[in-house]
Amino acid sequence: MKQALLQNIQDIERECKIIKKTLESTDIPKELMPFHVWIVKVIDNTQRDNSNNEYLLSQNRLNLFKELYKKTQRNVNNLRLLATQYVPVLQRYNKNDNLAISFIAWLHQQHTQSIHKPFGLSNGSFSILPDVNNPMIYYLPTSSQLNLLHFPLFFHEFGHFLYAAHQQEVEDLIKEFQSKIRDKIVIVNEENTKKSEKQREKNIEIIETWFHWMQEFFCDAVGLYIGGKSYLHTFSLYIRTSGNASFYLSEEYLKGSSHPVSWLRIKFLAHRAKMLGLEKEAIELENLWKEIAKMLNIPKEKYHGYYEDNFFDTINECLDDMIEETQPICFKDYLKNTDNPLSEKMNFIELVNWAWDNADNDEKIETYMKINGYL
Amino acid sequence: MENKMLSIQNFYRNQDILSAISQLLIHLDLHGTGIDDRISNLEIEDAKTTIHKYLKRLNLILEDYNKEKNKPMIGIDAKERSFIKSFAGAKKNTNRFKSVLFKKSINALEVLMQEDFYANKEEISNSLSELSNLIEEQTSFDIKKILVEI
Repeated sequence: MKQALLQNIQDIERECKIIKKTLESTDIPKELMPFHVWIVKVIDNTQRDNSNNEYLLSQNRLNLFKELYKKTQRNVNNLRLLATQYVPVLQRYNKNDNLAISFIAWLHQQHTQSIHKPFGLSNGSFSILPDVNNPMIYYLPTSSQLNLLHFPLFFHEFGHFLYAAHQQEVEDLIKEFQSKIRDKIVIVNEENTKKSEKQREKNIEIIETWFHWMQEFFCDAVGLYIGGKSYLHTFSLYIRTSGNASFYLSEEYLKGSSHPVSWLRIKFLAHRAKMLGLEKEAIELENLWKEIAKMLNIPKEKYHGYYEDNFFDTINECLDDMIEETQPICFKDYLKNTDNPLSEKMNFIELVNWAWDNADNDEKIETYMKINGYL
Repeated sequence: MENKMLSIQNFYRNQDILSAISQLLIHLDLHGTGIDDRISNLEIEDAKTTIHKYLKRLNLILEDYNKEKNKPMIGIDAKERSFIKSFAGAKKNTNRFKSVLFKKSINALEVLMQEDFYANKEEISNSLSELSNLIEEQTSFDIKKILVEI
């Protein structure tokens, strides 16, 4: 056992040196430097801990072998996670990332919670690794890299970070919300029949599922609050071609799901959009989704008890409180009322909204991006 | 949020408590042997604080869960719900989990840690070691979800 552990300890040291050497040859912009510094620090700490494990192993205490095995296992896992998720962020960097990096860096600068937060960009579906103690990684498909019309989805992803940054407070709000929903769900009679037992189990599933759904509804609310109509357009564009699953899921798929049905998300987005003065866009959005549903032969919304109309106000109250707690910026404070937005460099909220106003003119958008050094 | 991201978050969430447990187990094992464990007093105190905070939160959630098992666990995510169920199950598995933490209670372990840390070292070590095993079980599932198996 001692020899095997020693071999793993030596291999960890070898992997650390390789990662450090790889990082030396990466050429990255200043926005990614804090991410680079963090990786080097993690490797330094791993090397220190690993060397300590080697020392403890040399003491030949059999009692310690199990703990040293576990510590070595954790160092291996940490390194693998670093090598597969974090290091590629720097290795893959090329100048096509610059637009998204500038966009995210700007967004982070606007929020006190993220102003000094290291972040990176990687390949994948639009998503985020929103860690408060470690750097954040934003993922986007290569095909979206230079597509401004997709960028408002980053506002949703940023919502996950705001959630993590205020985790205790927002989860207390969700807990309160879940207990209100519990009171609204039809009370099952106390008879000990198989049917009532099954209903009780389903009610538990519904209430627990809402814990994750509320995070997604919150991130949609953040996306809309920051991006305004650009978020409505992007969300709809990106999701509406997912087919039937965007409109209806069977009970089996709803149980324990991480995301609510998209049609339900549209309902809440449209409602909030109207509250924010985007009535025209909200009505167009609702009508379009109804039209697609009709075309797909889905006559009406059906959520198998996971959503009932009497949840509506409770959900919105909780979302209002979550927005109040996390304080995202609002698009209204960033859009200038000018007839000629091109007269000066736009901020990124203006830019994505302007891009949507000119969504049928790719050439115009490309020219603006070239003039301003994004391409 | 994507399941993979939840797994990564959970993996990191568990690292602090697992590292703290490791430090205390190594420190207790080497205490009185004359071998330097290379762990400072400050690090020991930090590890105790991390474990105390973790046990306090665990106790609160477990109390809620034990009050009425046929009701939803609210205010916590699927990973924590799953761990609470594992912990409650481990308390019944007396063949595998034999320490004070599982045979008696979280409070019993807290009392041992506060009373005389070194005099109770065997019971404390057994409890922390079993707790670490249970957490590691969940962490290894997370790692399997994040990193593809060869």
